[in-house]
Amino acid sequence: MTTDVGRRGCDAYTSENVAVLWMVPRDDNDRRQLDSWCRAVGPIVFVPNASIEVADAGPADPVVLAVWNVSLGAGNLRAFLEREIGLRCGPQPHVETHALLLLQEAFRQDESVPPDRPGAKSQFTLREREPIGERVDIERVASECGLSLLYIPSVRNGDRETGGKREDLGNAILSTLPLRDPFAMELPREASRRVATGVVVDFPDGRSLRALSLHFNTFPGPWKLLRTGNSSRVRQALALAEALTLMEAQPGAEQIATLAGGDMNTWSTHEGAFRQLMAAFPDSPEWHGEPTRGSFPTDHLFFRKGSTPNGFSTPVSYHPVTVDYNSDHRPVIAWMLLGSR
Amino acid sequence: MAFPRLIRFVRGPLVAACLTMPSWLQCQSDGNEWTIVAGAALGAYSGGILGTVGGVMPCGYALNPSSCSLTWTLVGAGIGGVSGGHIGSVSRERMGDLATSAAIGFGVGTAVGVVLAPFVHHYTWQDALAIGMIGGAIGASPKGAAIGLAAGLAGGVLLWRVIPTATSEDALQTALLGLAVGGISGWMAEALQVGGNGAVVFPMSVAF
Repeated sequence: MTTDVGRRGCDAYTSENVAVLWMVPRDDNDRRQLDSWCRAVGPIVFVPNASIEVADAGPADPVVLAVWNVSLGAGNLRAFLEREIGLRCGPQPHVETHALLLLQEAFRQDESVPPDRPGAKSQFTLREREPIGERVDIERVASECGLSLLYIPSVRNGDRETGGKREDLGNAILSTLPLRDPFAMELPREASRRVATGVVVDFPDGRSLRALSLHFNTFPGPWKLLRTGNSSRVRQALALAEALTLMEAQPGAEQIATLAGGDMNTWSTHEGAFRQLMAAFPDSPEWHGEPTRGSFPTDHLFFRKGSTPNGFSTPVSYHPVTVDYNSDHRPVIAWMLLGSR
Repeated sequence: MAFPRLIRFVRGPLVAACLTMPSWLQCQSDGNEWTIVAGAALGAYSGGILGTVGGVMPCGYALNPSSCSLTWTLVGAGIGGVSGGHIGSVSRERMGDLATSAAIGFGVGTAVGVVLAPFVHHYTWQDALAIGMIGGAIGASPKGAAIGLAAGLAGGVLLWRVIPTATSEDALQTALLGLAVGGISGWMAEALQVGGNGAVVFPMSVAF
């Protein structure tokens, strides 16, 4: 067993008033390194309820799913929401269908990201692409679009301050649906810190689904590489599967279907990590056959019905969007049909 | 003393190996057991690291990459160890040259690691050391590694450009494979060269 459930670690810095179930790697050396990254980030953001008006959506109507690495605000999230999902942000946010978005490289820029703490580690400022227009952070998108939000930062994005504001980045889940019971799975340290971000999503007709936003490392550091070979993503995939199993085995844990999606940084769908995740999520949709970052198939959606599927079945119409909205990744979209329970 | 104990430990299997060899192989030694052990250790280190590096991409496709990587490491270390032990048994001078070359490679690699560390946010001092270790492994077999890397890179780029489904990852994979195969082959070639007369000379004399 490599993962501990509920062990206090990073949550001392990031949870504050949000009750989050943490799962962390057991390796003490990894823990120390991960904690030093963690000390540099701001608190978790959890907005459990959406305020957007969802017109015409019946309680059992399909829900649109999206997975997208938004490249630190370079990807134009509001344009994506409007053109691909028909979600209009602004003073009276409006959409015609429910939506659930699993995002990676979301960023937050404000005063809540702490100034330097002792032993805190930041990464260098990342700007993968120049944004077109204003960079809008994830809290503001959620607020302006009336969406529920879970944002769990992984690392501080640079030491710089802009007008007293500092920046961190991580995974996020945005939805028109209410969210509850957030959880965080810190993945084994391979390079920079990665936290799988999860929550339970409540549907209008009373059923629930567990959702997870994932971002795996691209390549290990040389030391890890010599010690473990090229097993970074497989180790992260196995740790994720183990953490999910442990979480479901907790007393009182809901036995519900799980949807996971993210930027797995896979170079091929023959990779061990992808195959391990397909085994852990046996009801996943078949890969659509198209790369989503350059020539690489990095972004995926996984699904498992669990012991109580509640009418959830494999997402359908799984495909990448043709435009990248200025991110270095193309979004992928699918639909969740709600069958009878 | 650990080394004489180690030599006593490996002597039995080596003697057994010598006794079962076909007649075109020889078992002999210049009598310096220290250079044999040093050669075997240097060869095992270099071959092991090169094997690990060569297995990086292929093992990414394995369901259990750690076992796959260990296999590559052990195969590399085995070939390097036997070759290095043989070189040490035949030519102390050549062994010294290889050790010096490995030390230079280690120094250059470590320097690169130290220079890189401030610019790669997740690097620690261990990563700088690891780059040094990779540099040392390449430095111990520089000619083979360089030829292998060049051939692998050229082949990889060709694959990438010619085969529509190939990616830059395939080019990188082929280059790393080339580096590993070239470096390990370099050890074997070195062992064949120092033996003279085309004979493969194993590092221990059969003495009763």
